Amino acid sequence: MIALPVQALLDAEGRIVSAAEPLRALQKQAGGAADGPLAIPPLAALVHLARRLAIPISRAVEVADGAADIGMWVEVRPIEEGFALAILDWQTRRPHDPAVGAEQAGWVWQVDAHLRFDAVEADAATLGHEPPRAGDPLTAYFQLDSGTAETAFAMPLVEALALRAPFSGQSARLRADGAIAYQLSGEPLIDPGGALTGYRGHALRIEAPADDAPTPAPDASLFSPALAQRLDQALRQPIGRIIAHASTISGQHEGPLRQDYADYAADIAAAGRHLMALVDDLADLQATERPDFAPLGEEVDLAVVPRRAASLLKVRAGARRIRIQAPALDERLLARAEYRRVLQILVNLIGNAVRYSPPESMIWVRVDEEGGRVRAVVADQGAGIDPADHERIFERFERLGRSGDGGSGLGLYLSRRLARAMGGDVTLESAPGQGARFTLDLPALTAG
Amino acid sequence: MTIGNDPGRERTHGGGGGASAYLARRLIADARHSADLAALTEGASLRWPGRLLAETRFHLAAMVNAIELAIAVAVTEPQARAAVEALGPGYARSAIEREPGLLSPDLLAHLRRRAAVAALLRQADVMRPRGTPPALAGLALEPPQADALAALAMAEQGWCAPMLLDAAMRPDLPAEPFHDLAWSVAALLVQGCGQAADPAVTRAIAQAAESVVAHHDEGQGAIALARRFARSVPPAARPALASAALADARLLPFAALAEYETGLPVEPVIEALLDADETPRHALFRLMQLDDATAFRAAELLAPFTGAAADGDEALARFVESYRLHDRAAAAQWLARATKPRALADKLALIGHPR
Repeated sequence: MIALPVQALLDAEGRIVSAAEPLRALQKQAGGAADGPLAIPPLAALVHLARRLAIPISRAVEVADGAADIGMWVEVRPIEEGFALAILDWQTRRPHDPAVGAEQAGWVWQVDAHLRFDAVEADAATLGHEPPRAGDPLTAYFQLDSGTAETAFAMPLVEALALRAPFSGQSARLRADGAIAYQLSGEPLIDPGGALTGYRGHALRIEAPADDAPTPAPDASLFSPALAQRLDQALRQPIGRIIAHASTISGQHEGPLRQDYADYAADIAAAGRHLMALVDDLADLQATERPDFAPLGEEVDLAVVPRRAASLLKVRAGARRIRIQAPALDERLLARAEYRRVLQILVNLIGNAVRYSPPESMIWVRVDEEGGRVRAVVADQGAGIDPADHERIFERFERLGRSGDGGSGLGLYLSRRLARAMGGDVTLESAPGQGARFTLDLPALTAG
Repeated sequence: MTIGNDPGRERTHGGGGGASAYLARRLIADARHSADLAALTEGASLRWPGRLLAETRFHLAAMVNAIELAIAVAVTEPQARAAVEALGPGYARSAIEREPGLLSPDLLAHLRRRAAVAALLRQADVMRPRGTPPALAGLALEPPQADALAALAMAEQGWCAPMLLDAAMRPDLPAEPFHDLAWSVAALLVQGCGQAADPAVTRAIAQAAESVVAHHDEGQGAIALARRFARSVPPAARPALASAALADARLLPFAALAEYETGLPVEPVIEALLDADETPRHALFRLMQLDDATAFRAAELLAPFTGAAADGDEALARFVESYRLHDRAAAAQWLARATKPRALADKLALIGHPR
């Protein structure tokens, strides 16, 4: 979000005619009159130059504001009745105060309003571990502790965020290595319009309490949780950047480009999305195989979810001229399940159908209810699957010998695990040459 | 201290001792080499502010590393290859620091211009409000121009890579300075291998250097790409693009556009932009139809190199006020002088002023 400029009007002699509140406050602190000449030296110098030369002038300036420094981009433009002054990119920086003591020790971090790292004043050599990279979410880098079993729930950072207030004493661990513990403190960064632009604070490394260290759960997955988290962290951000940059290039958002270059960029973006989908699958695999994995039991309209999934896949299906017939708009069929997970399953089932159906074919999604169970059936006109492979296809990384089609071999495995975790199942009826019919079965809401 | 001057950021090669001993050695070497380069440039008429020296040193080191690597790869004779490999990576870079006199005045002048271009590119992002696009991005360009400008931007990025002295930088130099630098590196390698002991080693290194020089394509360098961009721009669009290029702190596209507009080649245009005398800048800006506000901004950008920074805003105001007095006729006169063959200018100066 780019903050609105702080503006002022000056008369031909450089006296303030009108000014926005942040500038009035700065003028007052500098000892200037509200309607007098600008008393803030770097701004006054710019106005002087603009008056002398009668040209617009803009530059970055630093202004002292008590103990803080304000970095700003100032534009002074001669107008008929005097000068228009606009301050863009107002950034207040409070210096580190060494007198505050241990609470302020540690390394300095700064995040934006979405808690993504803007700046980190530390490197791997001094930290003994990788520092966060710009753009990393704070919560992806740190696992915030919410208090021990003996104490009440306490997350100072979250409470402070809600109040736009300073915080201290937020315990956290590195997600990459749970044995490394930190105490976080910080203060909000507010722009002149009063909007929160982020937080700046300190991370002080502390001894990790042995007793409340997270104990790794028995795990049947491919990776340890720590390794999976590291993989997730290490892959998701760079792949996200590749996708974003490639999409920007292919969309020619920053200027026209030769079409073959734009097409290459689109290919890169598509490959990146495939990789991201694989990372998502691996993260889901890790999540679903944890013993404590428990999806929500919320009210889900099973007639609505296939329509949503079909609309998500409309472009992909349209490229191959495949039609998806989703349940009619007036159908309603309530299940007890987690909406996000049901959507994930149906996107996977319909996506597979799109992938393996011949061009210009049809995919049907039907829903029905029977005996306290609700079902969504996805049927296609593809080559079909040999009954001997019906169970094998639900095994993880099973591709039935197919490759190069963009699948990870995890989709059906995850779909079945998710369905079973919600008290349902995913099953298959198919035979070679007869298409495939996948059924998602879930408990109806009325079944309690 | 820039990263380029920060020995702690360099990877070690050879030598023993602890980290602090290494650091101390590198600090001494850095200080000495900076002093050597400064001494080398002391007698020159051109200004060499510290920023240009640091940037020049980085470009020199990184391109020497790349050329050394290219020569080492091109050496086919086994004994010579073993001798070159035994010198270890980064040999030529540390050797040239001991022999700064190897650098010809022309090569140094070219590196100075290159350093100025790179130094400005490094600060381009902080010379406009965060989140606002560059001025050039705001102009509608036809696809060939946009492609050429994108290719140039990629080449420019190579010039402002992180300042690690042991990194390699594509030596995208014009032919003459590349020739000069490649043979300097070859000479250092021959000297390091002890050429007197075995003429075969000298011959193999010379052949490898010849091969590297023969394969050099100056047409792929940033200056050539800037010319390609300027060539694609219709004459009527040149002033607006030149103005935007200067506002974006991109000297190469400005200089290339000025070359096509005035006939003065890219390198003298950059030299004129960096000149301590403001007349060449006034003339160039007038010929490129820069308005007063852009002239002010350009003067502000270039102030660290021209010496105007010492007088602050007063110097910038004086620059714009005298720019207003510098009309197109005066600019054309300057251009006529600047584009005259040097030998002819020298002879004309002698007529009526016998020695």
